[in-house]
Formats: sequence, C-alpha cells, structure tokens
Amino acid sequence: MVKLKSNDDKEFEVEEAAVIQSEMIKNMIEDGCATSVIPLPNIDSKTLIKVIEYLNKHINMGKAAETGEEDDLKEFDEQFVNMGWEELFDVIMAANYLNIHELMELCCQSAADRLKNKSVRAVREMLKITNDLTEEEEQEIINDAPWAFEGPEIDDTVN
Amino acid sequence: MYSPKVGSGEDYTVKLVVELETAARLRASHFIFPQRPWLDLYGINVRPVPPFGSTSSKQFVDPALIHRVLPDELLFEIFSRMDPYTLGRAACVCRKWRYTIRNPVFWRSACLKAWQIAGVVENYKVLQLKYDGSWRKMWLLRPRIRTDGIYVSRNTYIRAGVAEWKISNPVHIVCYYRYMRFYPSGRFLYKNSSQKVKDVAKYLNFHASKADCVFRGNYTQSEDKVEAALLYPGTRPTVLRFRLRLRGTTQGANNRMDLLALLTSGVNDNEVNGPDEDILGIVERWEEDETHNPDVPAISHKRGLTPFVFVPFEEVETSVLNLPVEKMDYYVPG
Repeated sequence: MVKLKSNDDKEFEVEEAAVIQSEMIKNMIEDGCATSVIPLPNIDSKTLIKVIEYLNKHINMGKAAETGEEDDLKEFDEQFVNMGWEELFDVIMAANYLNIHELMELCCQSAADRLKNKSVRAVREMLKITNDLTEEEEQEIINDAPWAFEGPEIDDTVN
Repeated sequence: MYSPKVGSGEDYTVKLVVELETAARLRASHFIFPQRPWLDLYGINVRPVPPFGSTSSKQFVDPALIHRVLPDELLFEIFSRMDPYTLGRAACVCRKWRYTIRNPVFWRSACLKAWQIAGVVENYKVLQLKYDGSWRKMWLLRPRIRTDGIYVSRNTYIRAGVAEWKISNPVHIVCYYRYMRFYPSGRFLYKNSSQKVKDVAKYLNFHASKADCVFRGNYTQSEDKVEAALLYPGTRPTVLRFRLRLRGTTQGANNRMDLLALLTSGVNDNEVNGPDEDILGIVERWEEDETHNPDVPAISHKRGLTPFVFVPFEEVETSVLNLPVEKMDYYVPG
C-alpha cells in the first residue's frame, strides 16, 4: 500500500499495483522515496479521489483484454469523463503532474471531443472565452480556411 | 618597497604574477558573463502594466477558466487531439488560440495522416516544392481525399413505363447512386445501389457482408487526379476502373469529385488471385480499351457519370440526397 496526501491534508491509501500507473510515483517507489506518505501539493482531495477511482478501475488493463472486460472499461471511461469543465481541467492537471499517460489521453481527448463540430460562438460560450479578435482578423481566419466554417453539421448549442 | 635582497625581489615578482592572473581571469569572466538583467525575467509572464491613472488598475484576470487553470502546454495537448476542422474553427475563438494553432505540429500530423499513401519522404518533398515548407498551407491547398464521410454520385434516367389500357404512355424517373468511401490506407469501398445514403452509410465498411454487395478496391492520388480500381469477382472476373478529379465548392473543401472515366474490362483468371489483391497494380499500364478476356469487352461507360458529392458522416441522415425522386427529380451537384 502507498499513502498519498492531497494538498488539503487528506490521506489516501492506494494499492501499489494501481498507483504505479503514475510514472512519477512509480519512479519514486523504484528510487525508494515512497516509504512514508507521498505529499501531492498540486492536487486537492476531490480531484485525487477521481484519479484514484480511475487507477483502481484500470489496475488490470492487460487482464481486461484477455477476459473480455474491455467494453466494461470503455463504459467506465465514458462515465468517468462525464464531468464539468472545471473538474476535467483539474484531472488533466493532476494526470499531467502524476504522469499517468492513459488518463491524460482520455481527458484531453474528451476536452477535444466536446468542442468537435461546435460553432466558434458556442466554443466561446462554453469556455467563457472573451473574443479579443477584431472583425477583420476574424474574417481573415475564415477566408483562410473556409472549409472549416461551412456545412450544416456545425453545432451552435452549448451542451 | 625596494629591497636589496635578491630573495625578496623574487617574492615580489611571484606576487605580481598572481595578481595579474586574477585580474585577467576577472576580465575573462566578465567577458563570458556580461550583465543581462533581462535573463532574470526568462520564463516569467509579465502582464502589461496599465498606464498611470487608468481605470483598470486592478490585475488582469482571464475570465476563461481554461486559460487560468491550464498552462499553454496542456492547452496544446487538447488541440493536438482535435480534427483539423475543429482546429480550423478553434483558431477563430480568440487571439491566444489563434497563435497556438499556428504551430505547424498540428498541421504536420494532419497532413502526414491525410496523404499517408504518398509516403513521408514524398510529402516532405511536396511540402518544400509547393507549399513553401508550410504544413498548414499544404493542408489548406493540396487536393485531399476526404475520409470522414462518403462520396455520392446521384444518377437518374428516364424509362418508358408499360401502358395498360391507357392512351398515354407513362414514364418513370429512375434514380440510383454510386457510393465511394475512401480510407487513408489507400483502400476504398464501392457500392452501386438505389438505396439512400442514410441506409448505405450503416454498412459501408469493411465488415459488410457479401449480401450487401460492397466491393473493395484500392486507389492512388497524384495532385487532384485519383485512380481507383476494383474487381467484380465471378465466372468472368471484371475490373472496374475509375478516373476521378478532386475539387471543392470552396477552397480546401474537397467535397466534389468529377467522374472523368468509368471503364470495365475483363481480366485473365490467372492474373488475379484473391479479392484483396492490389488490383490497381495489375491494370496500372492498361490502355483504356484493353481487355484480357475476349468474352468481356472493354467498355468506357458514358452514363451515370454525375459528379460525386461528399456527405460527411454527421450529415448522412439529413443530406438532401436522401430525398426521393418525387421530391427532387433533378439534382445539380454544383
């Protein structure tokens, strides 16, 4: 068992098999630096709980492929990323810090997919981004790549 | 201080040499490390200072959570997982995104994927020769076969109906479609059917069963010209060859393909071995009227050559091409 401590001083016990999916902690264990509690000053307990949930589920990735549990894992992943933007960014930051490649991939892909086929206006609204481009600049970008802006498949809703 | 003793004189010179040395070293170190105070600011983001007396003297806070929380390299990670269309629109969201997306990395991976059958070396050559080394320019301007949907050619012809106990002869407008779906790997699927695009899209893939009558072939592309060929198996194996030309209704759309020629000719039994064979390689140097089986004459088809219109997968349900002939007797692909 490995003990992790979030930045709000909560401790979590995680199986070593689960936690070594994090490159960073794996290296720490290999170097013998993980004998006591590992403090994670960049991660709050709310996010850490999510990350541990993911690690525990993905503990036996290789085994899942053999026993045909891949669909189950896929479904879990789909459910897992079903969270608000704020939470998603927190998990991305945590995954990046802990260096958990699969989780990083999953969350960044989810963020990209949420913006897929969305109109520019919808993207701005979803992420509360202020438009600091002038009208001329906008027109220039559209003229540059008109194919990206045409077609009825572009979605203007913000869900 | 002067000393008549030889020994102390020696002592003095030694001291002098040491002093000279340190001075020289100092000067040298000064030369290597001049004062560059701006280096201290390296890696620090400096916010522009509002002019004195300006109303917005409080610190700038970006209202966008994504900019506050995620550092640029993680924003980059998200962009790198977007398809080029989403990326193209994302460039218009704000200034920060616009400049991030100008990074050639995104466009390079999109290009190398889209033109993978040309090979990496060839793609780099084309990049230098035609697009001034800009991957982005290449993505925008180089003719590209789209793989995110289906190319559809809608053809109609008029057939005289059978008149029974009537004075006038009825005529029918018959409508059929040619469907082509391309894969980046150099293979494509073809189907000729009266079924609508929304129905065909459900099974136009490599898992299609024999009963679906989906044929597999391979294609090559050079500039805007596409050559494709497939084999109709059977007792008299026949090869179907397509000569196509890519174009778009707007620059970079690549949403039309003109059918320049559609040829069928016979092949010898011993020329082909299996359905997954490189059929294009076999007919590569054939003349237009060449056939290798006297029972199957070479034909250049003159009907059903309406240009292909691209329908992205997102639009297969809503495309006007699903309309029955009663609603749309003639369709101009544009």
